[in-house]
Amino acid sequence: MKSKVFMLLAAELLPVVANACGPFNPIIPTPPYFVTEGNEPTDYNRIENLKLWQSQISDQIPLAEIEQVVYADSHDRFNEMTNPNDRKSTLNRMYIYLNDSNNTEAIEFLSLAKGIEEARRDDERRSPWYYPSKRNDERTTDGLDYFIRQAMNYDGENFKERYAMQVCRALFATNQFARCVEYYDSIFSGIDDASLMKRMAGNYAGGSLIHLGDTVKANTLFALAGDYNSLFVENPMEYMLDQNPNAPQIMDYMRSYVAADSARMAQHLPLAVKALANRDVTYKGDWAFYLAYFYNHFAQAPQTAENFINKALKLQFSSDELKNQAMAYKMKFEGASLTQQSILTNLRWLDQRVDSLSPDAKDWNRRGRNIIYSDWIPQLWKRGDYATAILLADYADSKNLTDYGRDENVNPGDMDRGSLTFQLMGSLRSDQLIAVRQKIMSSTPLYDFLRREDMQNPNMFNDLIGTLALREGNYARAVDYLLQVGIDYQHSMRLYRAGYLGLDPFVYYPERWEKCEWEDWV
Amino acid sequence: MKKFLPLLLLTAALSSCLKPQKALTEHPEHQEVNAVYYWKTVFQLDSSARQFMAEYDVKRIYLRLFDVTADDGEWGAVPNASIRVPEREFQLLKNEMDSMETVPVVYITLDGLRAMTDREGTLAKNIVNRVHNMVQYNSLPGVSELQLDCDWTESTEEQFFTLCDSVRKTIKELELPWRLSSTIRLHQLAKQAPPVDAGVLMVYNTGTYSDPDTKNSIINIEDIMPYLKRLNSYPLHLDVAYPTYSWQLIFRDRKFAGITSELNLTDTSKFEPRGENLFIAVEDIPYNDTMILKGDLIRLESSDFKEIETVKREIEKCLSSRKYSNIIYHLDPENLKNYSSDEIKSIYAVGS
Repeated sequence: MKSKVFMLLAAELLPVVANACGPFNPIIPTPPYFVTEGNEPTDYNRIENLKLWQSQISDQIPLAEIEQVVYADSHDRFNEMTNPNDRKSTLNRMYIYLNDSNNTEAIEFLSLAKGIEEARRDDERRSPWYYPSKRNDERTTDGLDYFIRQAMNYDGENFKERYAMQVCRALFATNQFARCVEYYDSIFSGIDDASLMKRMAGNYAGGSLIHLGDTVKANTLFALAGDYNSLFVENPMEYMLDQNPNAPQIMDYMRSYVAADSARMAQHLPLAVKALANRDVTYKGDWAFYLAYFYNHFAQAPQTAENFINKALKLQFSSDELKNQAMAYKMKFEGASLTQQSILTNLRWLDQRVDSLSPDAKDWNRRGRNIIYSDWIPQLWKRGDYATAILLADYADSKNLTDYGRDENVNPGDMDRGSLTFQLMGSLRSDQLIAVRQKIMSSTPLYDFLRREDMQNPNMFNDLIGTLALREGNYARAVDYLLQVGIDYQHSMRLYRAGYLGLDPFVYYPERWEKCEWEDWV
Repeated sequence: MKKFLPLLLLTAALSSCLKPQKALTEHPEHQEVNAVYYWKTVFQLDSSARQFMAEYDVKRIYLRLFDVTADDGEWGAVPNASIRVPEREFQLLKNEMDSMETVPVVYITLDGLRAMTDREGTLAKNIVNRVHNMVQYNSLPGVSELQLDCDWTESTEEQFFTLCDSVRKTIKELELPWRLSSTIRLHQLAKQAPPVDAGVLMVYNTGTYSDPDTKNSIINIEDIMPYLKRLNSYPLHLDVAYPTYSWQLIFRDRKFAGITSELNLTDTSKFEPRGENLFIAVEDIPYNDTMILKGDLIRLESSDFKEIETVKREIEKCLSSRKYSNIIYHLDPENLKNYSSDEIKSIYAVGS
């Protein structure tokens, strides 16, 4: 009975609170669409090179372990790990593979490549004053010239392009520019432009050509390599689009540098339009997404944006990552036309993105909740579909638990009264919530998917409907519903556990009221 | 265009001689032996070169290791035209020439020297470290001396002397058993001696090679005599280097246009003799990447033994009270075959 009195008093204050506040959509730090952190153009080569190694040796070896061997370990460390007479124990599967398979061809190549890298990095050796002091130490006898000779002497097929790239690299490092260009032309002219090694070697040949004064040819090689930073042209991206329209570095530049600034985005609109019209551009979905993002985010033209995002999803994307973002971005425009079926389809698709094995799971969790909170619920609410909106809010709120690592086994009465679900329910009239409850309990594929345990708990609804009725002055309905709130449910509430229900509602407790400690509530 | 050889001016005049300054560093004492300069970019000792060295008991090679030239970039001055020692010669040096003394020589251009003004210490370290590495790498035998070759003048004297001081200091810091020597051009005899342990008097490139009216810029007694009056009092131990090379100087419209040694001047269909050592191109002649044009003047200069003999006689008058060695510049069998055995022995002979 005390609880009823307490609720009655509280209800006197509720309309004021309800009128002044909410519902407030939760503010969720959500990763932006389209925009990404930039990579250096050469980062692409690194990733592609790791995948190439993986395909050349074993797809069972994780890229991280290949990276450790190929890029991280020093020349000495590598030689130590692959020394056939004194092999060290290791958990790295690439070393295990190299040693167990006795792949001397790969070992010799990697040793040479590391030797070149070490010599190239060595400041002393990069100095024009450098001269080796030992002739019998083959590795250091004549610096990079030794490696150049070794690489040129390779007569196998498996690593032919890799060795040729290393030759170009070493020739460039030793300022043998004409020789570098000549060697590049002699080896790579007949090799397809798609070859990673050709592109990487082309960067060195391009650098050599700059030294030799041939910027025109140098630019074509830089464009082939995706190295827009090295281009000697007025508009690098336009040149890239013309020369190598599908280079991933272009879109990376657009997403990392251009998309972060409205002026830059506007400045590059003609380029995006041109890309969409260019028949050589394969990944036009990327460009249409660019336009959709610009018109929605910076031009406040959602209809144009929606047109472009719809167009984008009919085109090819350069990556699943970008396509998935575009899929989610499209959901932001669907609020007005949502159906139960489309919501269910979208939610199931979003759920797949929140696979706990995915490194992006957390981002997708937030992205999905943000779509529900910011784009769908307002639209559903606007058209009076309170049941669906409340179920979606509850679904999105529930995703918050894993986000903050809370215990899933919460007390039934401990539902967050600050959540959007309760804000939405509390903003209705009692008769509306009664109707909502009835609708929620009806069986549809979407509701069956969304309806969680708390939404099936009559105590929660009876408690809230009764409270709303109190606010409305409909005491008969209030008593009717509040009487149905089970004692176990009341005891599970924090309000009860903190002892508030044991207090006399007509007595002033300054020592408690003025000392509002958050700890009492948690 | 081929690289120019270091130039020298000439003087002649004798006066009383003084004892040379004694070397102060801890290194093997300088020996008076027959020696040669080797001034090419690839060290190749063919059988005739080896035969020459054996026949004339050549015990010391002054080996140019690299030049120091100006660099537009961060380094200021950089090594250039480093000598390369092929494997065959490396094995030869390592296994069969251990009784030979090698003097590494570094030619320092004036631009290179000026570029390192106030950074002579850095340049010195770079030079000494690089020479040290090249000596080790190529197993150069019997190295107890490093020689700097520079055509310093009054305006660059201070930089060069500072460099010499710094090189000596670096040698000491690295505890290398090397003395430091320097080439001494005839015109430098009139100046203060550089702070080195010894010198080699260069009795070649005595005239102005680029002057179309010079008779012979390699060696000419008239050019040399005016300078010799200071020789006997020069405060450094000096050995003497005599030329045995020849070259062809090309002039166009009385302006110097290049140096070569490869033209067949006996082909009268292309070159018409004009006087003792002058030739006129009678037609356009392709030459390397360029063209010798009809009307170009070619001056053939050589190191005539009689001229060498005359000069040597005058120099020996000055050095009669001192110890010294004679050096042939440079070890090139193609040129040396122009001299008889007696002539070579005469050049090497001391106090004859």
